[in-house]
Amino acid sequence: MMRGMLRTMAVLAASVLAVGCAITEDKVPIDYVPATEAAPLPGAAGVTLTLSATDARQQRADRISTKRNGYGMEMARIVSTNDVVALVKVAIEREFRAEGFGIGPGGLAVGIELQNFYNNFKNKIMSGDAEAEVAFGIKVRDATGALIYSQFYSASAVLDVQLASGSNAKAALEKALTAAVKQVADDKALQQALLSTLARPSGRSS
Amino acid sequence: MRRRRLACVIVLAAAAAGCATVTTGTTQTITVDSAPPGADCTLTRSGMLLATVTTPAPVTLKRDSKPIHVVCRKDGYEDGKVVANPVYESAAGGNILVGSIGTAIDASSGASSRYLATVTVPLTPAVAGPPPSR
Repeated sequence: MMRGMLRTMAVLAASVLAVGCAITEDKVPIDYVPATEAAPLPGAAGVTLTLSATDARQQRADRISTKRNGYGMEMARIVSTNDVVALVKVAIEREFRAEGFGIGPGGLAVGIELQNFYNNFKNKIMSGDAEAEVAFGIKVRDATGALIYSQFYSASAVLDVQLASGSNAKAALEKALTAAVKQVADDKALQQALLSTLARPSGRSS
Repeated sequence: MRRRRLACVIVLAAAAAGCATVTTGTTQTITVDSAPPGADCTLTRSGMLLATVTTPAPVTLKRDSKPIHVVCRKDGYEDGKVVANPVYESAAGGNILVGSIGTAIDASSGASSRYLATVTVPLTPAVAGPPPSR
């Protein structure tokens, strides 16, 4: 009788462990939280941008983070419920709109290449760190396909966390995304390169 | 009795030093390549320069939980970049036997992370036009 109860308890405990949080995939939505509202740039209304985004991640493109157990071992994936490549494009597009640029077809081709969108959990003795990084490149081309501006942007965010969970990965990644997109909004050389095309036919709105 | 004592000393030493820190070390060698080869590449981590090489080339670096950025430049091609994220070093799994102190030591020494053996940066031929501003 006692043995039977113990066996049942062991099976129950094993079942609970089997569906425990470390080995079940976590799905979280990632949002863009703008840092500040950009001011419109004089002349920007005369420039139309056509944005596109591609996934250039060579590693970890199937997830945004990975859970870890107490020994630091990688467990289940943490994935985003929304497309992070599209999210980065929408975030950058929002900043260009705020600066006064037109967004639509037939404009300067602004190609965004997402190179990293990943949060790595690091174990410490009683807690851990969520180390997130968002990195992408932007290439601006004129109507002939010639490159007129190229830059890489990356930002990281580190949060002190207790759990290697989806919500903590989300918080760190959203912070890193905000910082990375702010670099684009603050890039004076990019703004100059875009505005300088006003003198060229390909830079005008159609 | 002596054997027990020796076993205790070994377990304590491993726990104090971290399992992967002892078994696999805190550095590793990766190969940096580009397609096509012959590009000048810089490796940075957290904004710090790690190495400058001409591809293909081996680079020995300290392991860490943070990603490495590899930027390659070659005449006639647009700049290429790849971010190499670290993966879990399976040797650190031995910390199950020695406890969380070993885990924390491996994490802080970087030994619980490793980078993939090869990083290849694809380069796109440049289209003739005005030189891009950076």
